[in-house]
Amino acid sequence: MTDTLAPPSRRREPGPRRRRARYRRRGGALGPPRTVPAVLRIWTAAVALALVGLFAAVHSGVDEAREGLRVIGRDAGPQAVNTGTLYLALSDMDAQLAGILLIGREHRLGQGRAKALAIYEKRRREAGQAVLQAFDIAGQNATGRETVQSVLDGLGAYERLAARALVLDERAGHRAGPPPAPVLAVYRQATDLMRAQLLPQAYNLTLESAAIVRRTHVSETDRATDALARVAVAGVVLLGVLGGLQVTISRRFRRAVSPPLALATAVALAITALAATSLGRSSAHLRAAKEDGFDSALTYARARAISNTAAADQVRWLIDPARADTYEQVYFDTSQTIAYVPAGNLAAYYTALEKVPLKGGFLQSTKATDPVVVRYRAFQKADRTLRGLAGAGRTRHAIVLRTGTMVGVYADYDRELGALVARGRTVFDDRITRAERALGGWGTGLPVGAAAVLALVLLGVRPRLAEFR
Amino acid sequence: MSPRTARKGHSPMRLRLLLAPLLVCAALSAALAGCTDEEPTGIEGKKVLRVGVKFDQPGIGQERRDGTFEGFDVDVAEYVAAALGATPEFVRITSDQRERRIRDREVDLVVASYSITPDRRREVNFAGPYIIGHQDIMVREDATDVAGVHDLRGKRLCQAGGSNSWRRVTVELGIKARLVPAATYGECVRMLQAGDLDALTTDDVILAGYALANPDAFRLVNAKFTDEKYGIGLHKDDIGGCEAVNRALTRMYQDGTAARLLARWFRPAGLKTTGHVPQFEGCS
Repeated sequence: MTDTLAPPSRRREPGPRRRRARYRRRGGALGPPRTVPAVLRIWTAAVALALVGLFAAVHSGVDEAREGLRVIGRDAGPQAVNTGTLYLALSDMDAQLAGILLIGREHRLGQGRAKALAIYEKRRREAGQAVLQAFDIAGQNATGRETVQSVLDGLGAYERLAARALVLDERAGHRAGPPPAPVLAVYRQATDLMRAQLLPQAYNLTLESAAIVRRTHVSETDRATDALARVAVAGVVLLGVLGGLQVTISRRFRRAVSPPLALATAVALAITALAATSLGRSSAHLRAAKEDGFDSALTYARARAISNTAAADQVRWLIDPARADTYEQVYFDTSQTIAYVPAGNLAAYYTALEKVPLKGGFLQSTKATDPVVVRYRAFQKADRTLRGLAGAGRTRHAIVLRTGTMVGVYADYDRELGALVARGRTVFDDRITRAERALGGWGTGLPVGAAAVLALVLLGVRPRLAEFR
Repeated sequence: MSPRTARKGHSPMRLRLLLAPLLVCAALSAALAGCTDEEPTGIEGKKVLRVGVKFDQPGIGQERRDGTFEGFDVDVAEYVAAALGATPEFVRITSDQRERRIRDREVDLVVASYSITPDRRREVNFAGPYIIGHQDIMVREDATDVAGVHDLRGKRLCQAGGSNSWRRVTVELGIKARLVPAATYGECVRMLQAGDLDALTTDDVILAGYALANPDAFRLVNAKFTDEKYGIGLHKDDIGGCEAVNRALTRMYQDGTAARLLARWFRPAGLKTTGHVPQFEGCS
């Protein structure tokens, strides 16, 4: 490599250009004096320049990679997960409220009123925390903050409606089943607010954060390739110039190798190789964080969120017969979004789900024997029983089933989804940490390395210059 | 200052040496530029967007005499196109053409009372929904025997081509209505008026337009037995475009445009709309 950069022999016949150059030198006007020390100084300057090039390439590469990591690892990625938690908490608040109104004065039916109220309270706190966190992560993002603010306002309104519905329901003291019209009217306001305003905002925040992650990841992949190429080119240029300097010295001073220069070349080579490895590894970890961690965490977090609305739709279906057709249609649609099998209606869906492999939906990439699929099938099987009982006029049995056994069936399924989300998050967090670690050390390593190269070059050149004093 | 200035005498050689890295850079960046051109077919960056809209649905998408279009869908498409920095070019589309024309890239967007269903979602990408409709039933003004969806048993019901609505009644709810095929909803409306049908079922936002256009002939039953998510259809591969449309729709609701459009197109027909951005499907 260095040989190709050896300055050409001086013994060659002077060409016209050379003569012109000589003329200029004699005139002493334009060209620099062609003395050995001057040549050495110019070579040294060239090394410094190439070193600046490498410094800039590595610095900008590391900087950009850190920015991409920050967006995916600390900003949009966590926001997607956090707003998923928000959705789940909000959705479950409405589910618990519906459950309480459904059992009326029969406080011990199913899991019971006290437990449902406690869960409602817990979910309310979780939602509040997630809102705060979402606001914090949204940072300077105006649209994001506006949405979070709107969720916060809506949450206050929802809680007032929920409190009123609970008071009216207590007063009505009805048996388990659809509550009296005044209670139902307030509950409708509450659930409409939740389902038409709050949940969509939370869900769309998740989607928008996921879109930012996807976009950053796509541009990040291109950018990483670019940065690697820049570092490689800058490294090759620096090594070439160092080689040139080495050859110049060995020819003019008849020395084989200048040890400091050789060492400088080694350090330059090390900087280039380490930087390339560092950038390459951080980029690979980031890709794994996105593809093996984030994507799966997001998919299952969304599945978990809308599965909760599906479970809540079962209760709403029981509580509000006038809207039962809509709640059933939405339940069917949601079910197919979670696990798609071709089916024209819910009855056909139950059957197909037992027999046919999944053709789409959030659970598509799972195997039929995976616990989450087994639990989901059980959830749908219970739903079939529930609707069968209600359809046969055994409404009370249906209510007992839904507020009792089915709470556990849903919880088992939800736990599996939660585990899948957690697994994705662990991979994500781990890979992000490793990507950050891969970029570590350059803050001091780069200036120190560059200074070392420069110092070694000066160390190699100074004695030679001294020979002319 | 570089070695080149010192060695003017050998500049061809020096030049070549200096050019070498430049050539490497140029080659690399050319190669890199080549790698990044992966999504040339998406809607982002296009100056003109071909938008498929309905042409026979008053209030949603209707062709005027001069060949231009009007309606809620048309206004939404105009807003979205402007947000993407493009001009919309509207083309007529019928319900049964929507998936095919998206797949064949004959249209960039479909904003044509296109309800998002699990089956369709496997073929196209859906941005939005930008509005939630509710399926309702329209009968002749003098008809009194249909008060809810379950009263459609044994009634002659229109089965419009490419539409999903009749399926909700006869397949999902299992109500045995007698289906009478028709090409479009426009044809259904004419058949209903002529007495060849007993009822027409589809979403309230569509029916409202027909009822408003002919208030003495028809009335809505106000049964509302589904949630219909109206989405904007895009090619299955265009995830970036889908996300960009979602962002435009969010802004449309935040800046008050959605409220204005809903009031303009649906309030005269007495429809209540929430005015809040619906829950998006997500692009994939």
